[in-house]
Amino acid sequence: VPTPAISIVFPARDEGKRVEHTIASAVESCDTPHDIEVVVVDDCSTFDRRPDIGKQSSRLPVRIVRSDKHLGVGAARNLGVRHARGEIVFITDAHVRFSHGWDRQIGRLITPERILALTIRDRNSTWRGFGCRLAVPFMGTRWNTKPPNPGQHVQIAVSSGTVMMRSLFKRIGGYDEGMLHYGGFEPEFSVRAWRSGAEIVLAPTIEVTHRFKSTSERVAFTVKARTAMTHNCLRFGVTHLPEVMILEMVRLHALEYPRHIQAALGLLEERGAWSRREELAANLPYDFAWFVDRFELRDQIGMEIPVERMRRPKPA
Amino acid sequence: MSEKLRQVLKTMSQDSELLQQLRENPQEVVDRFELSPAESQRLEHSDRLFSLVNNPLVESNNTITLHTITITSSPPVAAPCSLEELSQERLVEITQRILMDAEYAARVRAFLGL
Repeated sequence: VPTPAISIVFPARDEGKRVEHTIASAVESCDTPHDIEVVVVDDCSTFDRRPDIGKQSSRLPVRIVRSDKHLGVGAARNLGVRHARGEIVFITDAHVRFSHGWDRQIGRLITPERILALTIRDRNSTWRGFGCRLAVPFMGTRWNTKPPNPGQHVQIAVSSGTVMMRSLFKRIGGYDEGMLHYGGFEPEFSVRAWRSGAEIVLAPTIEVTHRFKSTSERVAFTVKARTAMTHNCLRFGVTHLPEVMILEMVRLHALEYPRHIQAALGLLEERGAWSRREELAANLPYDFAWFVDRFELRDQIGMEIPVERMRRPKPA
Repeated sequence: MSEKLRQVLKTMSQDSELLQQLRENPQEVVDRFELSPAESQRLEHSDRLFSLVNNPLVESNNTITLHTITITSSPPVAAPCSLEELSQERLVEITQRILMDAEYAARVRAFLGL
């Protein structure tokens, strides 16, 4: 079996037929289908909503990796990349469409230490997102909605359109599996990528059209996932923020989500956030202070971020 | 790493009263755990931050953005402070969310002083 150049990897949980349409779009809009494979991670879908790929496997290699346990998006993506054979991995979602010539453009823009942040389009409007930026100290994100200059660096690549060499994904360590189910994976991965010495570059001409959830779907989803999302934000902050901001971050979450904060704090201890902080501080070449300087980052109301005490010499 | 900070968070995960203190009177937490002046200052700062960024009537002011569920509207020029200032569409969205999310409903009530 020839080795593909690009592996498209995405998790699918109860996505059913949408998976077939996503794969069809990938094939129909690329220049060299024989150089592409698709790895779908079925993240414990209910039986009748399992990924349905129709006849797409006759057009390109498609593998479905099933998990009987609900992994969450981070662990599912990691599992997919472990099964990928392409030199380049294209992380995306199960309900997207691709712009024409996406594979040729990836081939032109990718480098060993570069992550491409693709442009995300809303299927139902003219809205476009060009990567995200970090909201400190809450550890959420905000979209960049202004068209960028080509080749511009961004803080955060969005998971529905993140492309890099598989070797780089491995070197960064994949998505943080200490996080739970949903929320916070992409910004944490991106900050860690920057701190690892990689760069994240916007690829404005490669577009991924995404199906965003409706308001009612969104509310129903977040109500169920809130404890995990709160935990993930806290874990993100504990692993990267200056210590002096950690309690401030916890207070913000406690004010906003009083019914979830206690369980989230319990999970924080249980899932080893503090040892993760130590591990990253010991192993990453750049500290969070470097990231703050790199993007002239301020907190959510424009105040300086107190990173002085965590600053250490820059790597040679 | 500050072992003290870790202990504070661990204690909070088991002590609801301490968490309530953190929300309502963070200075008591500072005193009890003898936190540094810098930490104390950041906690004071969080009051300002929360009041500035947490208008529940403005969705784009939410401090967390989830990639597959993100709002696609641009932030309004002036943040609304009452239900009368909202568009009909936004009012419907808020009502839907109030009905499904008790925590959000409490935030809206608190924000509107109901």
